[in-house]
Amino acid sequence: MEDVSLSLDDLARQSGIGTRVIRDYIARGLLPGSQGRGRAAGYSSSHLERLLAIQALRARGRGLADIQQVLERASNDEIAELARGARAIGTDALRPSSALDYLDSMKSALPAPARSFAPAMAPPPPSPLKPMPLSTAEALANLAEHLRAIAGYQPRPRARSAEWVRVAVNQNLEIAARGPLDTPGRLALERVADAIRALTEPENEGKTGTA
Amino acid sequence: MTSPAPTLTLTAKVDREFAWYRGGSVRYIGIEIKASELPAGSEAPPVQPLNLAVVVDASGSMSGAPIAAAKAGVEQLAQRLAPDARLSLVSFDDEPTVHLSGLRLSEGVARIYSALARIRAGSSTDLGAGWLEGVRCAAEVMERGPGFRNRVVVLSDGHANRGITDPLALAHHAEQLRIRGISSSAIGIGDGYSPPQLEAIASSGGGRLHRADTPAEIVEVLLGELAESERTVAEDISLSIRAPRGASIELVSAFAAAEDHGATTVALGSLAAGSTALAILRVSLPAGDAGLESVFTIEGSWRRPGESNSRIALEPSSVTISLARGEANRAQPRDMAFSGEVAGAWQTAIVRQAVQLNREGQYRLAQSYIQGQLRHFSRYCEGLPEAARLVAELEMLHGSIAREWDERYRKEAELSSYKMSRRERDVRAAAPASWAEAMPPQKK
Repeated sequence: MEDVSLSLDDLARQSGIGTRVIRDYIARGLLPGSQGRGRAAGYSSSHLERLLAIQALRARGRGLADIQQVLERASNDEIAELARGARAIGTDALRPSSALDYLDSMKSALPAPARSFAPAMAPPPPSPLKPMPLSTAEALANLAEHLRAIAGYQPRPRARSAEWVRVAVNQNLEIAARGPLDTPGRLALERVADAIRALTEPENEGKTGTA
Repeated sequence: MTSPAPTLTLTAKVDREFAWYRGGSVRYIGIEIKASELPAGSEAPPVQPLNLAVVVDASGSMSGAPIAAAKAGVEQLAQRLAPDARLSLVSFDDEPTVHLSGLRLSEGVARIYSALARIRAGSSTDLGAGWLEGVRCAAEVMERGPGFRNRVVVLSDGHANRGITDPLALAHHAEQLRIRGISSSAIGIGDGYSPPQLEAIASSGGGRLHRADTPAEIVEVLLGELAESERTVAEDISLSIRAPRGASIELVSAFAAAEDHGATTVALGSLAAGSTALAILRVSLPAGDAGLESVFTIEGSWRRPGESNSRIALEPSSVTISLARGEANRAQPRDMAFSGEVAGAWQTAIVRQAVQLNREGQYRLAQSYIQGQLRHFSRYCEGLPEAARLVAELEMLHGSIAREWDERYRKEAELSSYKMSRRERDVRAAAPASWAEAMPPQKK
């Protein structure tokens, strides 16, 4: 018979999930209630594994109804695998960082403020990467290479909110990538802008922009 | 008897259950969150101590009566705080200055008064730096121990013209900090502040947006913000709505929204016991076989004040809209009560957009915009009780929007329609009852 010596507080401590949330999961049927009776009642290691599996799925953005379906279909081995994944990351990593950590990360990640939050139609900065005159085919290949670089750049999931980093191509055209971007990311974005300029100048004069 | 912990319930509804199978139908979904009432005769559940950071604009334009009123408001606010509350005080002009950081109120209010005395009006306005310094003070209190209700309130009379000025950037940071347990509210003073900047902080920050026109109103609004905060039983209420393939979603209500892994997330802010929030979404359905069901799934979660690391899931729900042929689509019943609420929210969205166009000097465009919206809006309102008033108000707006409005009227109309859309109370005694009352007098 499985050892049921974990209390609710033990579960909370070892999983990193608050007791109120654990009770909520039990009420929803995501987690079985305590086993045993009276003073012998408690939770087992399989409760802890299931809790960690729920955390791992929540960290991937899955909703509770979705998670319930996943767990109903999953074998014990699959639940254990999810729990192992959660342990490997660490329960702290499954929670968002603290507000203080976020503020500190802003300070280190922000490039010079004027460039991060420049007005949409700021004139393009002088670029050390301005390409030599290219044929159209070479310019297109160049653009494709830089677009692949910026499209594949961000290792994180897409940001939840709509912060965009914008680079002006000319007075009528700008490009934007979902931020935040650090320095290599901004560099890749500016290379894309350079490549578009190489393709479009001087034919772009006189065309209306997309306001 | 102490009342049980408050609970939230989620209810979803749709104005019409069928859409035309040939495509192009627009329907409206409503998601209402209700906080349970406190049982009569029971005591409110114990309230976690408040960790409050007040951030005061000390730019040059605040000199004189406005900054004096802000200081007076903070003094009065401090007198109402419980001994276990923490108070931080930051002022900003072109850079922030921390006057108090996490002061425990039981240490006495004398330090608060001397800190307030040191605030002087300066030069330009780095709103973002000031606000984030206030957030840092609150975050440092959080690090020392859990169980606080963490709030930042920013008072500003101007546009941020240094540092973070982009409302989208401000909204992103406010959202990230809200997720991490710190709510932000904003108070705009006078006519010079930037509504997009302050709304970004308040709406994405899970807080409230206020406006104060006079020194007395600055004090009134600060105390009102504290009172609203004390009534909060649920905070950081967040919805996630997933549309079926081919359907699109647009938020009509004045809440902050974002896209997240293919779902639309909506930040509803906080609720007091017994109060409700209603998010209204406009959905467009694609063409398909008659009988095909489009299912919109809805999930949500929230936090209890003081429990920043623990979220409570709402019971998920869904709304189904079925494709139907012409006759069935035309003959279907309509949820009249909900359609009335849709009309109200839609009207406030039109007002906000039109006022912004007026601010930009695009008077003809504002008029043309209202005209275009009225064609669809008045058709939607046919048969709805009370909707004739809504149409008449928009027609009045159409008549007056083609000339420049005084900025005071623009701000009052914007704030009034924002609060109506969110079912929030304006804490000012002299607030207009509706945006229509906030319009400039009609020229004869």
